[in-house]
Amino acid sequence: MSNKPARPAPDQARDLDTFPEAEPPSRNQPPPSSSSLRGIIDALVQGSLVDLFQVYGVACAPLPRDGRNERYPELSAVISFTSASDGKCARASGRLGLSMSPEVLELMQGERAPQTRQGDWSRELVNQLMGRFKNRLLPYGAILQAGLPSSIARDALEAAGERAVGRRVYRARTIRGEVVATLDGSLNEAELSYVGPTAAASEGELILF
Amino acid sequence: MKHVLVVDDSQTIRHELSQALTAAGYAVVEAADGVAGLERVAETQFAMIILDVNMPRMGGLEMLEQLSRDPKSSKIPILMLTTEAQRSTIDRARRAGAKGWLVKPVKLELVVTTVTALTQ
Repeated sequence: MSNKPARPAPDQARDLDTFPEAEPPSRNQPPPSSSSLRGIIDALVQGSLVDLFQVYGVACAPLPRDGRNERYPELSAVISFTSASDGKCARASGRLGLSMSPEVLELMQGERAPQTRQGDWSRELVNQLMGRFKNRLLPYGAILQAGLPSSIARDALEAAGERAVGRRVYRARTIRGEVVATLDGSLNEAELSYVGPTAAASEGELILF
Repeated sequence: MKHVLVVDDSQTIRHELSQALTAAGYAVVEAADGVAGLERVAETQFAMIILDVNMPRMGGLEMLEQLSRDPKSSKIPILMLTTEAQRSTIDRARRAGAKGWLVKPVKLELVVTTVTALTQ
């Protein structure tokens, strides 16, 4: 839940029937070529991370991916994903992780801090991060199915990264410390191609049927 | 007093929704997955169900479809509350009889307003 202003009230909610189907890219604006999609996964993960924190009122600035080998913050949760059969990236599978310190988690908890278990909230946050990432991949034809979030010890997450091929590590800074998102697996941006907007709803949005 | 069932595997989300809806005058029952949710539905007459999608044991869409097949529960308004935003998933919920779809994270006031509208 967030402290942002409410999105549409029920009487203002969008009717799914009126939601436009995905439109082909404009003739005046050619779709991104595969070469211009290089780095799109990095951008989508980082954008999802910043947006998620912003919703909870926490400023979060991505740091350059410089290959630093510092330890992750101590509270971590992960969520696995696989590709759906009807999307691109047919062989994609992997795991998205989110790590933060108790101090940063407390910032994200806001007023709910006294009633929140750290592990439960960490899992919910990585679940919401995955949701954002998934939804941002939809315009590129990639449909992911997420598993269930689980907590993981920092040592185990770091060790898994040493075994994983090509772990992507995204660090970001908040006022109370760093946040780290990790992406393991076989999600390959070479398989992505822009197909236009396809998500039927945005975060915080209400659709009444 | 109207009873609302909140089904979500996040204890934090359940607690937040429960507090907000209780303050709005509803009696709230919680369940952590679809199996527990169906058990609660068998015990209590609910005016509304708020249902997550991805949960252990039984997900929200499966629970929704089971409820819609049972004449005893098919009339209960169901609001899906989830991080999922894919059209095909939303369409599946609509076909199964859900009344609305909210994409997390959402403001609690919007949930309460929606519940109020759907239970009138």
